[in-house]
Amino acid sequence: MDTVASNEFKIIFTGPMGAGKTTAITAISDKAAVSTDVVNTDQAQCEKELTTAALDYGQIALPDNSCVRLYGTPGQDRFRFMWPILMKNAAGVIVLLNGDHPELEQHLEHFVEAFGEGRDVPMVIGVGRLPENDHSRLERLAMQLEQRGVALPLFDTDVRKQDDVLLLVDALLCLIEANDTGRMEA
Amino acid sequence: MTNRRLAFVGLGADTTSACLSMLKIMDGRSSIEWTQSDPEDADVLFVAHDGDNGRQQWESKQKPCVVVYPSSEDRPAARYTLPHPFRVMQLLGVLEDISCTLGDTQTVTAAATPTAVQPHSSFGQSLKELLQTPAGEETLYRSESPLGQLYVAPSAGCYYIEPALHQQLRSKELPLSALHEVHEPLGEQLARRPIFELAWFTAQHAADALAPWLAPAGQFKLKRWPNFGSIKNDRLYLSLCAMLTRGTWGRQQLMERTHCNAGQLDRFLSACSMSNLLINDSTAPTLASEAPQVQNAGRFGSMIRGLRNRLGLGS
Repeated sequence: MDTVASNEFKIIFTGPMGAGKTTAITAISDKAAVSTDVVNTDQAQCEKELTTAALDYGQIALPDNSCVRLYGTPGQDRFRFMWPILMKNAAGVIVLLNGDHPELEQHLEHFVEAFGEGRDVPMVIGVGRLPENDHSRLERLAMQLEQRGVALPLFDTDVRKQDDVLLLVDALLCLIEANDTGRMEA
Repeated sequence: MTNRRLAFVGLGADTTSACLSMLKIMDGRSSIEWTQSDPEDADVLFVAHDGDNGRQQWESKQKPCVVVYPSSEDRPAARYTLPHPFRVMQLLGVLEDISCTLGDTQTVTAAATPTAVQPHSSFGQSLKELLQTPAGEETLYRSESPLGQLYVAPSAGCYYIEPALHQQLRSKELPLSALHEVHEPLGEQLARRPIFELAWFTAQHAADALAPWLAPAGQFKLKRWPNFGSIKNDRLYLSLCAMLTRGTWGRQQLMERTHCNAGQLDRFLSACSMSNLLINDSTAPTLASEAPQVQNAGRFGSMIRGLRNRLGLGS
């Protein structure tokens, strides 16, 4: 994971436990994502039976024999030591958040900061489980980003819908493209 | 108390009656007392949109003339207009404008509320005014169209719309009347949506031209991305957003980089501006203004194209 071959491309999916990283990777991976799920003993953080203990992995093979690797980080903070390892040579980061979580704003701060605010590695943010008729949470998150001085794509996202996951990927590719072109011009 | 006279020419009895009833409601809320008179003696004339003879005759005497036109039609080219049917606030607004012209120092008090929408506005103009002014306390505004109606609650950052009308709004420009203040309960069948979305669709479906408040030679930047989870996404828009959050660009540069035409770009910039996402900063240096055009030619160029094809995202 330390290095990425010239014909490989790495995208990181991160976010707190229960945000849908495994589901998102599965939605676009060629094969079912390789997961390291174990029984979730931290029901206070998230009420789900299984949770990722190490990482998720998926891949998309391209016709020219190159490969896009999709890594999902474990959400728990105690696995934070793995994040910089996974981030090395990453082309982009997709942060997924659980809009229903009481610490939503803190999660945004935490993950945006930990993964570099999109300054060196492009970043997009998807927020799931938002109440249908309450758009104020997304607005609060957008304001939060604006106050930090970062303009990152922030979309409401249902990771169970492939189109929503594809939108995140497409936005990320546009950012990578804009950065990449800029580097060529510099 | 100042006395002013107004007269009606060519208007239906129901319009005249509605106007007089509203003037009674205004009684006591204004320092100006408006009474009906003959056209010859009136200070202000209300004429029907199709009553050109009466309008020209009066305008030649350089006295204010309010053209009343059906709200389903385009606003006529006149200084003072009133779409029919109109509300008290709209009538108050136009009379306030006129009383200023006539030199009345004290005007209609109720029309001075900060979020009052000017009565001559189109739907887009009235929405823009509401988005720019400080939000009033839970004030509700309504707009009608033959397909249904919608309500805007600026202070709550949302609008309410019938589901069928919402589908139409997402795909095309609708003949919506200017927004006007109402005091009525909301129907249960209405969907609550973010006001950003209404602003976006209104500007995006408007004519292929830059919004009049944006300078064509301006330098633009985005302060935040639109929520493409809510509005219809488009590759061109994603690319433009990526560029405009990375730096400040002029229109010509954006068109060259993204291969879009002026109409597409102007709709996008207008929608961003209407939604309060755009910064127009003419003093900022632009990025790579002299650099040759490079499209997908960086480290990841071929990989990105391959991944898009593989995921069915188009080229």
